[in-house]
Amino acid sequence: MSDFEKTQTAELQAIEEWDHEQVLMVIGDDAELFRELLDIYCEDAAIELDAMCAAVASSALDSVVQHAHTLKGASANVGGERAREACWRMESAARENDAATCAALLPIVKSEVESFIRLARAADFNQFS
Amino acid sequence: MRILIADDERTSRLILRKFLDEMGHLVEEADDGLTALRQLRDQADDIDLLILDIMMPEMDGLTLLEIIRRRYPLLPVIMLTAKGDRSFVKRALKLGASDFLDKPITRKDLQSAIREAIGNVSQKTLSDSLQTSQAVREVQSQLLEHAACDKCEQMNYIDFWFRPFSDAGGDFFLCRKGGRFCQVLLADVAGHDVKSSYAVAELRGVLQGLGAHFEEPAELLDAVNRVFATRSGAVEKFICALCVFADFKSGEWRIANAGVPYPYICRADGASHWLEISGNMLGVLDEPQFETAVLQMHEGDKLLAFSDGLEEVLSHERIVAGWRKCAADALRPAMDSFVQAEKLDKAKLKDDILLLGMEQPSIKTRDAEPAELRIEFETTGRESDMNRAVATLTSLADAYFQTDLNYLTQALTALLDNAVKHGNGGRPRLPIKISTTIKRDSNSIGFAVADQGGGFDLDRAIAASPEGSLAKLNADTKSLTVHENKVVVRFSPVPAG
Repeated sequence: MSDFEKTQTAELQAIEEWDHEQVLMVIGDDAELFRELLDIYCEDAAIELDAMCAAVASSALDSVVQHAHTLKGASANVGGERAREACWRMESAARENDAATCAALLPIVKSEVESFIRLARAADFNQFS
Repeated sequence: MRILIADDERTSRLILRKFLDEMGHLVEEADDGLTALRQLRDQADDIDLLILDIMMPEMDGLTLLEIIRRRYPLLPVIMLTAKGDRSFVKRALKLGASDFLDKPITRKDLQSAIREAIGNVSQKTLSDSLQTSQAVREVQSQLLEHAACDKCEQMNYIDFWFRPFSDAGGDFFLCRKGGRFCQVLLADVAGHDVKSSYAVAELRGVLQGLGAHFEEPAELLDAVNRVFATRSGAVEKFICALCVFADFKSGEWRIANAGVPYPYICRADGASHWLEISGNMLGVLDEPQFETAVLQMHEGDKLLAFSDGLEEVLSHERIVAGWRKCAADALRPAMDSFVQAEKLDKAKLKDDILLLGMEQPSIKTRDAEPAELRIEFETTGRESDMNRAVATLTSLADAYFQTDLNYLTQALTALLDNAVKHGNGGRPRLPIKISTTIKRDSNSIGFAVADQGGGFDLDRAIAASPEGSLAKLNADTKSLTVHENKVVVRFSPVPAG
């Protein structure tokens, strides 16, 4: 792991991975909404992540901005704070036309989003309410 | 209500649909900007509210918002935002978004945003029922003084250039003396509607009412914020401002920023940099933060500040390169060169542009320099613009020395009327350029008015002028001339009555 990755990872680790309170603010006691949101997130996050990887590989930074932004918003809606923060950093780097930072951030964004997807697939509404 | 959600992101659409269904609204969805636009076109009369993401494929939210404001000016729009979108929020509000909604979306925030958005439409509907353009003209002519300065003996070291985007609201500039400081404020009120007009006029009143109580510019901004942040009802407006307290005797300048672009500093020794201080807009937060800088300025050092309308026209690189080329000159020629070189008077505008230039004089020779103020700007023949032009110039003249303001008003109005009728062929929307020089040492005012006409027959114009006003002007001043297609009048000393 490079120094950059170590620093980024350490900073992200300081953030709660899944903000349960935030989720409850959105869904209230609606278990059905909870499950539906997470299912959609898991499907779409995987698609956005693949698209982001392809965009980074081809240095299509406008496209990186778009996918990072979308995934940032989706992560915010389901309380995935680390994933959201990682996506925001990617979006910012892409807006700055910093292809090198985007490439360096990509494994981190992948790691955080995939970690959150694993959590989401295993989640039980009762652990929130 | 029928509400259209435009967001490419499915969880947002799901949450919004769920909440809106519960509230009893009918919901339409679009997953990109172009689809949203097609749906609006097909169902324009049926959609009551649009919830729009900042960024989408095919057409991003801000581009879509711009189109919507032209085609469907009454449609309320709520922007969806997330962390890092604050710069887009500002632009969206200036483009006419009614409110914004942060992700993650909660029921309470959504309800509040809908209430706010619909409330704003009610205000606009009221304005329209009063014939908006007529109401704006009345407000403009009675309340709005776009750049009026108190008697400030250091006016020689401050210059500005302004070009409005439309009739109403927009950028604003104030200069006054406060203790040892010359207090200068550049302000940018969001929007171009009746509410903006009121907000600008009210801001001016608030600033005048606060008096010269402050030693720090951040204190002044904070005081203004306290007035606007607690408002409710008709005059909720977001205001960005830069406040400069300049002590020209010592060269100490204190600067605080409330949301305008960074100003640019050019030193006389050739060094230059952006002054990277930022702050929260006024009227939004209860406890905003304003970063402040204290600079020691030396003779010839200059500051260029501008409203964000300039950023719509020029990149930061262009601004720096253009200003650095000009900044070696004295302030006024530098401002003129910059405007001309960057063709700002011809640029296609998306927003008002206000430039503010300030220069630190020599401390030893300051008092010996004659006071001269030169202003150039563009107006149109529309009644509101002409009233604003006249109000601007007469209040500036009053700041300098005792004048017969009625006479000034009549003289300028006569020239503008003539420009519209004869130079612009009776078309009020065509631009008219005004350049004015006020010289305190010779107690004189001169102004030149240039219209779009190809030539000028002075004798015929005098004969045709309304109520013989040009004839009277010519008789009184004996100075009415035509120079390079501009009608020029100079009078010194200023005649009375």
